[in-house]
Amino acid sequence: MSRFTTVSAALLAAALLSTAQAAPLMERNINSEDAMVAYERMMSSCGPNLNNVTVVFVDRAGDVVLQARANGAALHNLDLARRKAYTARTFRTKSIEWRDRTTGTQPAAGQRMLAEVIPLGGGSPIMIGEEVIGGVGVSGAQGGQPGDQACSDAGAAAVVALAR
Amino acid sequence: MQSRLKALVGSVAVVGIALGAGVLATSAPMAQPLVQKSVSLQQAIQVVKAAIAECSKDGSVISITVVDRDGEVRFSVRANGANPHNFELSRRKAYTARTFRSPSADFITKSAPDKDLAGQRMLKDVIPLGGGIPIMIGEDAIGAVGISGAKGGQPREEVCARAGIAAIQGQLS
Repeated sequence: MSRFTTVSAALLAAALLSTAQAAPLMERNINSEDAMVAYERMMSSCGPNLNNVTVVFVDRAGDVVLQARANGAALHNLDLARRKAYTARTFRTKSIEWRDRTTGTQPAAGQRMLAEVIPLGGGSPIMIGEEVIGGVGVSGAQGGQPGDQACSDAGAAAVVALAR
Repeated sequence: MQSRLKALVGSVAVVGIALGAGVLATSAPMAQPLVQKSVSLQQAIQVVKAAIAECSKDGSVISITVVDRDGEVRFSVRANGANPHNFELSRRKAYTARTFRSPSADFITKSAPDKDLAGQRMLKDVIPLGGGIPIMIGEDAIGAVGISGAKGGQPREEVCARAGIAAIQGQLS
């Protein structure tokens, strides 16, 4: 009986312990007000002609938080900006670096078959230390992919500066 | 006979050239590209900021979309803490206001189930809910703004949308 009681008490304690651990996840995420401010601040890093610069911010889940389609945008720019942001978010790396590590016969080449990703420069993860809270993607800046990448890097840095 | 045929061919050619010239002279000036106004990114950002300012007076945190003349998103922001449907709803309200060139609230009554226009609800992307207001220059819809997630619901969303457009009213000509 006493052994039974001991076992019961142990089970009860275990149950309580797991209850205590079953709190909701607390995750940091991009603030859309920060995204708006960062969008305007990053533009100074996006070349002399902003008429074609399309920008998308995604959150921690990879969903769109802000999108700004340039007046002179081509048809593909908005989706490309979103996919660059998504790529940077999910791989927690600049999309231009992910492009280079998924080429040809490299072991990671198969990652290009995922939906939504895009092996093109212009996407930057928004990192608070080691934690990714979103991504920013740019399409249409002058200077091709390096130009897009410099622009998106500025966007990510602007969010991080605001988040601190 | 030979010379009469030649003369006939010649006159046909002359008439043909004359017709050709006529086509060029009358149609060419009309064959210019269409030039249409559409809400610019800069205007869209101003609309969004002013609408957010109005809606934040009662602490509302809104999702908001500005679509252009084509009904395509020009600028949009999803609210912190938005429900999963809010962002998409803001876009569809804007689209509805743009395509019918009237507040999306009008579409509620115009397309009510007992009305002849009820079938319009089967269109893609439209939504019979208030909170979408067209951006007009006279009779011309150059875009629209749609809002979702305001505390006061659809009437309040309309107020915020109109406040947003008011910020660029001076540029709408």
